[in-house]
Formats: sequence, C-alpha cells, structure tokens
Amino acid sequence: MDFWRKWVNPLQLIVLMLFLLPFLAIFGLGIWWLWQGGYLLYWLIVVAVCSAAAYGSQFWAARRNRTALNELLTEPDADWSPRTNEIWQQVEQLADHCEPLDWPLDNIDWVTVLGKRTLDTVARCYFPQAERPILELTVPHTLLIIEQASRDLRQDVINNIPFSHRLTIGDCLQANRWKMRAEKLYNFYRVGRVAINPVNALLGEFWRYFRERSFGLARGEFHRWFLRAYIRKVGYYAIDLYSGHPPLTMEDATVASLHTPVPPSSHDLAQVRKAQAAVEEPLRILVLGKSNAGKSSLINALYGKLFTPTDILPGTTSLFTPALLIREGFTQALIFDSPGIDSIHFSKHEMLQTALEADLIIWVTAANRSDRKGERNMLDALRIHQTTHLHRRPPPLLVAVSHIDLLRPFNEWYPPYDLNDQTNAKANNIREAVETIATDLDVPVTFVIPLCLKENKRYNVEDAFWTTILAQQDNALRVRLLRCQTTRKKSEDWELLRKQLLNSGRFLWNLPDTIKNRIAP
Amino acid sequence: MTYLDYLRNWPEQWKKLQSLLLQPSVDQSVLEASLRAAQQQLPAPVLWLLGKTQSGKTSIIRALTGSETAQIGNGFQPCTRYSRFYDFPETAPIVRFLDTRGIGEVDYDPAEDIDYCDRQAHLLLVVMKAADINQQEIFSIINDVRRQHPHWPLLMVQTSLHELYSDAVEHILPWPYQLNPWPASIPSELQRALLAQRAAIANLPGDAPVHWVPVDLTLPEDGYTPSDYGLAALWQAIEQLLPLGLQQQLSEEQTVRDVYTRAAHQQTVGYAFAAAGLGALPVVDLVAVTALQAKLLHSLAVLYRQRWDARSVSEFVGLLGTGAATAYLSRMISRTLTKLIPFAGQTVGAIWGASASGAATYALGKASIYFFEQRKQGLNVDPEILRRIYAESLETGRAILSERLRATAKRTS
Repeated sequence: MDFWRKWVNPLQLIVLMLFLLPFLAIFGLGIWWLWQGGYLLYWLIVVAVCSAAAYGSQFWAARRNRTALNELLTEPDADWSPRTNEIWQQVEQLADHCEPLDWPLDNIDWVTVLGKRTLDTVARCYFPQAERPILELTVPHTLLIIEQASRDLRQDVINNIPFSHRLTIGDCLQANRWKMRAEKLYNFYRVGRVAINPVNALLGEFWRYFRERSFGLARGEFHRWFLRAYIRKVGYYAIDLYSGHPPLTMEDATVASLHTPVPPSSHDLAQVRKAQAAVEEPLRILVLGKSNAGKSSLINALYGKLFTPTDILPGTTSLFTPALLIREGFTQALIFDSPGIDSIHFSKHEMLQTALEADLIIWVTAANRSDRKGERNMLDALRIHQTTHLHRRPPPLLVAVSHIDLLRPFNEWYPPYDLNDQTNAKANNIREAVETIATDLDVPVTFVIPLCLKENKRYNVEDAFWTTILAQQDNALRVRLLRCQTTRKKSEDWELLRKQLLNSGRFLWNLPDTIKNRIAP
Repeated sequence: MTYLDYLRNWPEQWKKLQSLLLQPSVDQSVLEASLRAAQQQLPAPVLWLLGKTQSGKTSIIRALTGSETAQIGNGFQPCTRYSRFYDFPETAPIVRFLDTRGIGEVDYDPAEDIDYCDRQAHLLLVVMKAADINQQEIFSIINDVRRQHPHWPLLMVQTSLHELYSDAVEHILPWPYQLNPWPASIPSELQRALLAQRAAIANLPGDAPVHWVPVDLTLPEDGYTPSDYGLAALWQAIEQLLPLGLQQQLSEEQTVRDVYTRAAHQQTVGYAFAAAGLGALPVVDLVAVTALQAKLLHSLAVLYRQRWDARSVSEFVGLLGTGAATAYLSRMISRTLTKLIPFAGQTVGAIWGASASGAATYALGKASIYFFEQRKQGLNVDPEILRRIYAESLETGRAILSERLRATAKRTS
C-alpha cells in the first residue's frame, strides 16, 4: 500500500477516471454493438490479421537489424594461421552462448567479467600448461586489449545506434525504473479491467502478448549483439597480441594496412591534415600599454588565474615573455605580456615584431591618466609598421580601459553602470573617459571597453570584454578563442550576450555627435 | 609725472579724487594702470606647480585658496591647455599659481619658468600621483632646476593616496605621515609607492631641503572625509619654505568661515597689497590708490549682492565718520611729505607709505565688509562698531603687510 500512497494521489486518480470513463464506455458499447449486429466475428478476424501483419513486419525489421548488426561483428583476420582460427572459433562460441539476461547492461561489471572470461579463453589456448593462464598477461597488455575493444565498440555504437550519443547510462537506468513503475500500475489496470469488461480484457491480453514479443525481440536483439560484439572484439585483440604483434604499434599497423588510401587521396588528406595542424597553432595574444596600466592584471582576469606577477612598482614584466595557457582539450593560447611602453625594458623593435605575429592585440590604458600622447605615438608607429607588411592582415586591436573605479566620485563603486544613464555621475565619467580615449587613441568607440581589474572588484572582463574580442574575430579564430576558455557561454550565445550588454550600456556603441564634431575640424 | 607736476595740477587731481570716492563706477583704464604698477612694485609670490596633467595641481589650488571657482580636472581630460598663470584673487592677486602644462607630451624646457620665478618670491611645488610611479620626466626637470639653483627648496606633494588603498574606503585618521617610522596602518602598497618616488630622487643636486607631503584633496561628492586630507601639513610646509604668511592672507583665521567672508577677506588682502605696491612708489598717486580702494568697495558690494551707488557711498563714508576721513587724508599727505626728505626719507617713506596706503585699504575693506554683511541681513549698521573695526583693521593690516614688505625689501636689497 506504500506504493499507492507514494505514487498515486487518490483524488487525481478519480479525476483521471472521470475523464476516461466516457471513452472507455465507447469501447465497450462498440463491442456490444458489434455483437448485436453480428459483426463481432468479422471484427475479430480483422484484428487477428492486422496483428499478424504487424508482428510479421516487426519480426522482419528485427531480423534486418540483426543482419545489419551481425555485419558489424568482428571477423577473423584473413592472415591468421589455422591454429589461431581454431582459437577464434572458441571465442565465437563464447560470444554466441552469451545470454543477455545474465548480463544486464545497467550493471557495469559485465565489462570486466566478460572481458576477463574472453581473455581466459584465449589465454588457455596459448598457455595450456599454465595453471592460471590469464596471469601470463602483463597489466598494460590487459588494459590495452580492453581499451582497444572498447574504443572499437564505441565507434560502432556511435555510428549505428541512433541517438546513442545523447543517451547516458543514467538515462537508461531512469527509463528502466519508470518502466517498472508503469508496469506495476498497468498490472492493476489489467486486473480491474477483467472485472469490468471481460471480453475487452481478453482481447487486450491477447494483443499485449504479441506486442511484448515483438518489442522485446528488438531490445533483446541489441543487447545480445552488444555482448557478442564485445566478446569478439576482446578476443580479436587478445589473439592479435598473443600471436606476437608488438602491442604499441598495433594501432598504426591496423590503420596503415587496412586504410591505406590511393595516392591522390593521400595527397589531399595530407593537405587537410596540414590545415588542421594550422588551426591547432596556438593563438597569439599581445598585451600592450604603459607601466601599471594593468596589463598583467588583465591577463590574470581574462584567464581567471594568476600566472603573471603584478605589482605597484614597475619592472615586474621585463621582456615580451609569452605565457602559455594550456587547458586539457582546449586550444593553446600564447599570451605575450609586455613591459610598459614607457619602461626602460621596452624595445620598440621587439614590440613591432611581436605585433606582426599576433592574432589579437589588447591595448591597456588607465582611465585616470590622461597623458596618452606617448601611447598614441607608439600606436601610430605600430599602425605604420603594419601597413608596410601588406601580406599580413593587421590583427584586431581592442582597448581595455582599466581603473574605471578610480574615476570621480572616487569612493563610489556600485556596478553595473549603464553608460547611457545621464543621471549617474560615475557612469557619466566612465562614458566620457571611454569617449576621450577613443578620440585620443583613434580607435572606434565600440572597441574601447571600460574595465575594473581589481581582484575583488572585477567588472566587464568576462562578459563585455570577452564578447567584444569574439566579435572582432573571423570564424576560425573565434572557434579557437572559444576553445581557449573553459566555462564561458556557449558559442551560439555570445552574440546575443554581446547585444544584451550593449543595450544595457556596459560599453558604448557610438561616439556621441559632440565628439564626432570635435574630431571633424 | 614728477611730484611738482602733481602738485601743480592738484585742483584737477582733487576733483578726480572726489569723484572716485563718491562715485561707484571706476575708470577701467586708471584701475588697470594702477594694478599694473602695483604688481610691478610688489609682485605676488609665485607657487610654481610642476606635474603631469591630472596629477592634482588644480585640486591643490582649490584647497589652498578655498575657491570653488578653480576649475577641477575631472580625472581624464587635460584642463590646462597652456602654461598659464592663475592669479588669486583674480584682479588684485595675493598669490600667483604658475601651472605648467603638457609635461610628457611636448619637450618641456623649464628655462623660461625658472627665469620667471627667479625674479620674485616663489616656491616650487612638484605634484605627483602616488600611484603613478613613472615620474622620470618630472625628475629630470627638477634635476635641471636644482643644478641651476641649488638653494631652491622643493615641496614634493604626493596626491591621490586613495588609489592605493587596498580595501579600505576611508582615510587613515589622524594624518599619520609625520610619524617616523610610518605606522603599519598605511597599506603596504601605498607605503612602497610613496617611498619608491622618494628614493628615485635621492641623489638630487643642491643643498636646500626637499619636503615630501602626501595629501588627498578630493571633492565632497567623492565620498572621502575629510576632503582636504593632509592640507594642514601642506600649509605648514609652505609656510616653512616660503614664510610670507600666505595661509593667513588666504584664510584669515583657522576657523571655518562662510564662503562670503573668506572671499571678501581674500579680495581685501589682494587690494591692500596692490595699494601697498602703489604706496611704495616715490610719488604716491593718490588717484591711483583711491581708484583701487573704490574698486575694492565695488567688488565687495558685488560679492555681497548689495547696491553700490552714490547714496550708499555717502552713507558709508558718513558712518565711518569725519574722524576716519581726516585721519585717512592726513596719513596720505604726511606720507607724501616724508618722501621728500632725501635718502633716508625715501626708503623709510617708501615702506611707511606702502604700509600706510596698504593698511588703509585693508581697514577700509574690512569696515565695508561689516557694512555689507549687516545690510545683507537687513540689520542696522552701528557706526561705533564700524569705526572700531576700521581702527583695529589698520593695525592688523599693517602687521599682515609688514611681513610681506620686509620679505620683498630683503629680496630687492
């Protein structure tokens, strides 16, 4: 009764029954009408024919599936010796006698147990005199065999079972639980039905038997295939290994011998691989600016971890030292932190050379320092240098305006600030600073992003600045950039996010007319 | 114009004097000529502010003068467009600020400014943001200055301390930078930045002292209290290096007074100095001095938003009483006569004349401030108090002036 209390609200059940009652009645009435009119026999014949046809089709489909799956099963290597073929026969036998009911897929143990049993079979053939033949295998070899078999199996499953890449083991388990629950409920329904409408119930039971048979067949079919495929894979690689193939070159050997392309294809393939290799080149980001503008802080903020030192006294960054940002599974990024352009360590020549190779240049300038003449001169020199190298497209240049928290009113910091808000003094000052910097450095105002880089006050870095960077990249670079980041928004979302941030005034879209006029004369 | 010429034309001069005293409007050309002459005779001391744009120079001007009209750079746009003077108060200055623009933008050559300052009392204030470590340009300029003038003292002002407050949002009170060693309550980043700037010019040529004062002069709306953090220490350093009583001249008393009173005081002192400058001339041009005094009264009337017409003038003079008027005239005349005595009379007369016309102007201004204040509040003007203020102010005015005059005399001798 626990079950009832837990899963069925009696009131809800009554409601459901009230809904269903008229329709169920129609079914009963229909049968009654058939019986009255004497058509019941004909109807039963139609039902029988339809069911037979459906069952036949289902059976046929399952058979077709089975043949298709069986084609995927690992076949013995043609080069194997007759003795090896004998061993293979044993493996096949083991595979064929494997009962799906004994190895439920939701219990992961079958991987090791079945794998061990297969290995045992193979090992016994090779080392008949050994007491426990499986012990003759080294650990790496065992693991290698299971690894290879699992990898192949994964490929087959992904390529042949629809939606398998979306299905998690958790999903399977969940589905199973629900199915059991539903079956329980259904059984209650069946009992009740017999009492209410015996004829209908009889037909239903009959129909159900066929249905279960046909669907159960398909599911059992897959399960059986899966286990068989696994055993055969493990057996295949075990035999391969025992018969003396060097395990570490196994992969290369199979790839080379089985998939050697014809010469023209191999040329094209080489081209494609080269292009792919180029895409895997690390992304080069150059960060420039005056001393203490916040270059190192920006890098630390962008990548969420501390890997360049920052200090109030300059000289913490002495050369164009690249920091390598590597994350497992992501594209590498080379970040070139630089000494301040006004520092004694700064070399203009080196900067220009590094800039030529960069995919992205970030210019950091402090909102609260207005002496930008030196920065503009350096920037102009960089622009001229870029125009003399026509073969290289100049990388996008973004301006990061740091220290906006130090603008007037000094002691106020309540982000976010809407730069279109005329009533907020701080927002006004940030906007004016952004506009002034855009004019001072001759950069479109959309590329000038106000930031705060203080560790506990970070603002606009991960969202506004990052989406602006992305917006300036072409597709290939953008993909690489996105891969440099871990927990960023999904690739399709960043454009939307950027628009939202623009609309909320987190950075500016246009220079106001007054500034435009100031530039014009 | 010799003295004899002056005497020969006296009826005409007298008429002018009468009209000046009794008429509210002042002849602009006469006034300008008088001010120019006064400025030449007794130039206002120069505070030379040297620093990058937005290092906080304007904030210093605003804090020292208490004037809200001084335009404050908003932290991102250079508000100084050229190397300029800022005279305070504007027409008859007590002090002149020399503001150097565009350091780090153009190749600045300090020779001209050095030359300018060399001719008058001055103090070099070097202004730098504490967080702006890279001050090479500034340091090389002061190196040049000290190589030429090893005896010039330097006042180094480190501003915008709050930029290096790590987490704190309040100033450390009381101002702790006079302590040695500094207390640990000063954030270490700030300490290191301040010391790094000091260490950078440790090997400056010259022997005069270098004073360092960390300040944070903000606007009230910036949210830091007090908004003039470290101002007292700055004044102390200025008075020590340039003992002219500037603080008293600019703010009269230590106590906080309303904006009107402070501005009125500054105006009065400024005109008193101008009058003193004229009084030191061998031939005192009564018309010129009177023009200044008339202009002072006029400015004060504008400041207190009071009508200043012929009726008000005669009422004020009437209340001041004939005693004051007679004393005023007799002083003028006796002073002129003293100057006729050859040699000793010239010098003594010059100083006395200067302090006399200056003190008279000061007293006149102070009396009129009382007059205008009472009228602004709709109260009666008590002639007794008015006369007492006039008499007392003659003495305080003389005291204020003598300090300045002595410094000038020492300089010229």
